Amino acid sequence: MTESFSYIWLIPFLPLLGAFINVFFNRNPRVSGMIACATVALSFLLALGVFFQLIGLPDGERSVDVVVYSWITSGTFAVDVAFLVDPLSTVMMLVVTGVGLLIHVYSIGYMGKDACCVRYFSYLNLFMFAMLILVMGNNFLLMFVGWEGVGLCSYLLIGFWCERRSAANAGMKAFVVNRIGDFAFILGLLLIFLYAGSLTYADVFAADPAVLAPVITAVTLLLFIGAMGKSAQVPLHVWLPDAMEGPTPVSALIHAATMVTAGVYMVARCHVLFAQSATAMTVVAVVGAVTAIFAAYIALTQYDIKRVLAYSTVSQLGYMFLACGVGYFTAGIFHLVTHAFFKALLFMGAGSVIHALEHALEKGKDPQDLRNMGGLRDLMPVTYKSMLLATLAIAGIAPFAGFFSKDLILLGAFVNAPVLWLVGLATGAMTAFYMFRLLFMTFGGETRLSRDETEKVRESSRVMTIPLVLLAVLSTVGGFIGIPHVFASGMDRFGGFLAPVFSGLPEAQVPSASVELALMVLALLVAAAGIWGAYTVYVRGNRVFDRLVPRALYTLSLEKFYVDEIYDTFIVGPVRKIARACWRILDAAIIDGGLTLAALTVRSMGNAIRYTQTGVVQNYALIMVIGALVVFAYITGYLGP
Amino acid sequence: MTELPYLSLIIWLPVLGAVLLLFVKGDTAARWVGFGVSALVLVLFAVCFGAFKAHLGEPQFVERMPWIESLGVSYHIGADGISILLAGITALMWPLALLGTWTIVSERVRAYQVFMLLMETTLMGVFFSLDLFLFFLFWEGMLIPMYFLIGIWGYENSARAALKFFLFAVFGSLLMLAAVITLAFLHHQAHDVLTFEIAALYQLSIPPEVQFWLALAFIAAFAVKVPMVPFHTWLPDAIVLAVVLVKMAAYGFIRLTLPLFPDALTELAPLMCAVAAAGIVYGALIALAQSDIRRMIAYSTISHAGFVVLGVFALNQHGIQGAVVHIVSLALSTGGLFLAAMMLVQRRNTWDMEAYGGLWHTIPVFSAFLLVFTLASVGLPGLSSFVGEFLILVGVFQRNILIAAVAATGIILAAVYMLRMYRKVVFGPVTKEENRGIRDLSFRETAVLACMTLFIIWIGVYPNPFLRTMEASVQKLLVQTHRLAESPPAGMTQVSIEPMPADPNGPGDPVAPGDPAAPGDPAAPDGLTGPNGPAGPDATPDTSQDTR
Repeated sequence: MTESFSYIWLIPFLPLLGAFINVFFNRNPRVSGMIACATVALSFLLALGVFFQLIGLPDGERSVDVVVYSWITSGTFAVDVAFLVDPLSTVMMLVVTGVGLLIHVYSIGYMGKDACCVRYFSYLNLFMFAMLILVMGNNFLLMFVGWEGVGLCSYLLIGFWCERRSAANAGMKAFVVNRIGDFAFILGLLLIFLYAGSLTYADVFAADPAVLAPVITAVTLLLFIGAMGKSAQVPLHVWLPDAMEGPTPVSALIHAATMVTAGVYMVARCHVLFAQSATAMTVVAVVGAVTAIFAAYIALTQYDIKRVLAYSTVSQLGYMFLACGVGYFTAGIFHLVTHAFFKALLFMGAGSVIHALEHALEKGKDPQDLRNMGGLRDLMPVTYKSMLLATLAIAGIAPFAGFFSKDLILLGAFVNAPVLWLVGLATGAMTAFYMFRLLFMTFGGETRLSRDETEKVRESSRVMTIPLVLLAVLSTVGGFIGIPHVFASGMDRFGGFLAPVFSGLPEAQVPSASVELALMVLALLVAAAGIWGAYTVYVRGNRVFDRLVPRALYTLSLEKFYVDEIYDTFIVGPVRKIARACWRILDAAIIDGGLTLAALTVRSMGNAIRYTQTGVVQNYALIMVIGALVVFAYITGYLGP
Repeated sequence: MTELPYLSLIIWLPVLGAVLLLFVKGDTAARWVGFGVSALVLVLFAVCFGAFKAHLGEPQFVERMPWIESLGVSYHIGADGISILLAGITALMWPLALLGTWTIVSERVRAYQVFMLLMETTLMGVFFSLDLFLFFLFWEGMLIPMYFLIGIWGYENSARAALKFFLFAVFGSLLMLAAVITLAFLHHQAHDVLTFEIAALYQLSIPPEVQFWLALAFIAAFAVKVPMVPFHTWLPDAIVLAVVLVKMAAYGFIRLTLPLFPDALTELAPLMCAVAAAGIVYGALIALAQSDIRRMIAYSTISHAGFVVLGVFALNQHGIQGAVVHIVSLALSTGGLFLAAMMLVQRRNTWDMEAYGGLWHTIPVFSAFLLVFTLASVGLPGLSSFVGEFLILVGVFQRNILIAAVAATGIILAAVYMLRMYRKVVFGPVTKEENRGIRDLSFRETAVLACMTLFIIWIGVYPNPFLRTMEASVQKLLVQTHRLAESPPAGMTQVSIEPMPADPNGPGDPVAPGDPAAPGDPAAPDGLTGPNGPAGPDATPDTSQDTR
C-alpha cells in the first residue's frame, strides 16, 4: 500500500527544489517566477494524482502512512520523516498547492518588477514546502517543523521590504507572538509523548483514551493555544493585522488562504483528542465565537483596505474554530476551503487595486486607504466583478461558496450552543456590512481621485486577472461540493469525502428540515440587512449610524480595543524593565560585584603571599596545593574512624 | 589496535605544529601552518571516525602506557561515542575558526596560531583521557593557552576578564583536584591499589554523604566553565572561549559527575536542573537588554548552556543525547554567529547594534548567513539546535514538568533577543554612511560559514547518525549512573516509566536487534574496567533501573 504513494515526498520537495534553484543558480527575475510556478504546478498535479488515487480506494483504506526516513531516534523517542495520506491531508494539499499556484502566477504580475523578485519567489517556494510538510506530516513533530517553517517564511515575507522599519517590526512581532503559541504547542507535544509514548498520529489517536485521560484537557488546551497563535485568535491576534506590511500576494497566500488556517487543520487533525475533553471543546468554540465578533467589530471602521481584510480573516478563522468547538469539524474544514477561495481572491483583488493606485496616486497619498479610492468600478472591471463575487461569497449570500460553509457552521452552533449561534449570526451581519462597505468605498460612488490620477489607473495585466477570474469561479460554485442534506440527500460530496477521517465522532444532531431552512433564511436576512446598512451609509450617504451609535463604541472599534497599547504597557514594557533590572542590578551589581569583591580579596591574599614567593607560577601552584590539602584533610577527616 | 595510534596523533600533532611555528617566519606562513596542522588533525579524525564502531559503546582506539607508576597514573586514552562526537566538533571547528579569523587576527599572528593549536591539544586530551589524573592535567593545561588568547583578543575589559576567569577557574580546579585526590585515596583504601583509572573509580562504593561533597567539588569546577549562573560573569568579557568551555565542562559533567556520584545525584540533580532552568531564563532576559552584539551572544550562550546542563541532569538517554547534540550544535550556531559577527566588526570596528542597520541590501551574502545562525540559535526545527533542545525537553519533562516548562520559555525569549539583534543589524534603512560601502564576504569567509551552515542543516534534518554514534555509550553511562540509585531521585516526578511502552526497537530504531552490546546488558560495564581495574562488588549494575 505504501508503495503506491511512494512519490508523495515529491509534493513538498519540488517547491523546495524551486527555492534552491532560485537561491543558488538563478539571477534572472523573469525566470525566477517561472521556476517557482512550475514547481508548484507540478506539486498541484501530483496532489491531484493523490486525490484520484485515494478515491479509488475503499473507504476503510483511505489512510496511508508513507515513511521516508527515520528522523530523530533516541531510545524510546522515535520520530520519522513520514507523510500521512488521508482525505483531510489531501484536501489541504489541494488547497495549498491549488490556491498557492494561482497566487504564484499572480505574483509574477505583482512582483515581477521588484528588484528583489528572485528572493521573493525563493521565500514563496520555501513557504509552500513548509506548509506542505505541516499538512502532510504523519506525526506531531513533523507538523511542528512545518508549523515553525511557515512562521519563518511569514517572518521573512512580512519583512520583505525590510528597509521599511514598520515591515521589519511587523515581521518580528508575528514571529514572537507565534512563538508564544509554539511554546504551549511544544508543552502539549511533550505531554503527549510522556503519556502516549509516541508522537505519531496513528499511535496517539489509536491509543486507549484512558492513557491520555489524566492530561487530556491540558494537552488539548496547550495545542489550542498553539493554534490561537498561528491562526490569530484573540488574544493572540495582534500580529495578523500588522502582517499586512508584506506584499499583498503574501497576504493572500499566507495570511488568508493557507498558513493561518494551520490551527484549524491541527484542531481537526486532533479531533480525537479534542472530542475527549468537553472543556477544551467549549474553550475552542467560545474563543472562536468571541474572535469572530470581536474582529468583525473592528473591521467595521478600518480604512486600510488590507487591514479590513486582515480583521475579516481573523473573524472568519473564528468561525472555523466555532465549528470545530461544536463538533462540526467537517464544517470547519469546509469553511477553510471556501474561505481560501474567496479570501485569497479578496486580497488579490485588493492587491490589484493597490497595484493600480500605486502608479496613479500622487506622492504621499496612501494607495491602501479606502478614502483615496472610489468609483473604480469602470476603470477596473475585471477586478471589480471578481471582488463582487467574493464579497457576496463571504457575506454568505446564496448560492455563493461562503453560504454553504457558513450555514453549516451556524447550524452546528444552533444545535449545540444557541448563544454562540447568536454571536455567529450577529457576526454575519457585520461581515456583510464591512465587506460591502469596502466594496462600495473602493469601486462604488464618485471617485475621490483627481482627474490626472484617474487617467493613470489601469486594469491589471492578464497574469494577474486570470487568477482572479479562476478564483471568482471557485468562490461562486465552490460551495456546491457540499450541498446541505436538506436540499438533496447524499449530495454533500465534501462531507462524504472527509467522513472516514471523522468517523470516530458521535453522530451530529440534525434538527428538522423546517428548522434548518428557517435558520438559512434568517442568516440570509441578516446578511441582507448588513448589505442594506452599508448601502445606506456608503452609497446613499445617509449618516444614520452617526446619530444612532455612541461615539465611544466607534472609537473602540477604530482603535482596535487598544489591545496593542495594553500589551505594550502591561507586557512588553515590564519585560524590558525586568531585563534591564536583571542586567544592571542583579547581574552587574550584585552577582558580579560580589564575585569581584571576593576576587579582590583573594588577589590581595595572593599579593600577600607573593611577598614571600618569587614568581607567579609558584604562587599559583602553592595556592592550589594548600587548598587541595585543606579540602583533602577535611574530607578524609570526615571519613576518619 | 595494531594500526596507528590515532588518538595520540590527534592529541599531540597540534603541539608539534606549535613547535614548528616557532621556526616559521612571517604571518602568512604561520597562518598556513596553523591551518594545515588543524586540517591534518581533522583528516586524521575523519579516518578514526570512519573506523569507529558505534554499537560497542566502550572506549576504542585505546592506548595505554604506564606513566607515574608510583602514583598509579597511566597514559590511558580512548574514545567512546560521546567523546568522539565532542572531539569531532572540535576537530571540525578548529580549521574553520583559524580560516575564519585569517585576517581578523592581524597582530601577534604566530602567538595566536601557537596557542590555538595548544588549546586544541588540551581539548582533545580532555575528551580522550581515561585516566583522571591525565584528565586533570589537560583540564588545567588549557588555562595557559586561554590566558594568552584572552590577551591576544584584547577586548576592552580583557585584563579584568582574565583575572575574573582565572580566579573562578582556579577556585573550581582546586576543589576538583582535592576531589580527584580523595577519589584515588578512597580507591586505595578500598582495594589497596592506587589508581586514577576513571573506569576503576566508577566502581567505588562511596558513602553518599562523601559523594555529595565530592560531587559538589566537581560541579564547582565544571559550573564555572559551563558557565552556569551565578558563576557566569567572566563570560561576557571573554566570550571567545565560551563555546570551547561549554563543550569541555559539559563533558566533565557527563563523564565524571554522573557515573562517579550516583547517590549524590539524588539530591543534586533536581537542584542542578532548577538552577539550569533559572539560568536559561536569566541569560535570555539579560541578552534582551544588550545593545552590544558580543554581550548579547555571551548571554545567549549562558542561556543555551543552561539547556545543556539541564539535559545532562535529566539523567536519562533523551536528556543526555540531547545535551551532546546541543553542545555540537552550539559550537556551530553560536560559533558561527560569533565568527560572522567578528567578520562584520572587522569591517566596521564596532560591536554596537545601533551602529548597523540596512545591511540586507549592502551585504546580502553576509546577511543570509547571519540569518541561518540566528535561526539556528532560535531553535528553528530543521536546524541543529532544535534536535538538541527538543530531546533535552523530552528528557527533563519526564523528571519535572515545571522545570521543563520554565526552560521552554527560553525558546520564546530566544526568538525575541535574536530577532531583535537581527532586525537592528540587518533590517531597516541604511542610516549610517559607513554601512553603505561595506564589503560583502570574501570567498574564504563564505566557504567557512557555508561549511558550518551545511553541518547545521545536516544535524537538523538527519541527526540520527550522530545520535546512533553515541547511543550505546550513553546507555552504558546510564547503567553506570544508575547502578546504586535504588529509586529515582527524590523530588522528581517519575511519571515517565509506566505509561511509555519500553520498546527500544520501535519503529525506525537503528540499533540492530541482537546487538552484542545491547543496552542494559549487565556485562557491559566490565569492558570498561581494563586490566588494572578490579571489578568490585558493585561491578554488576542494577539494571532494573530504567536506563533507556
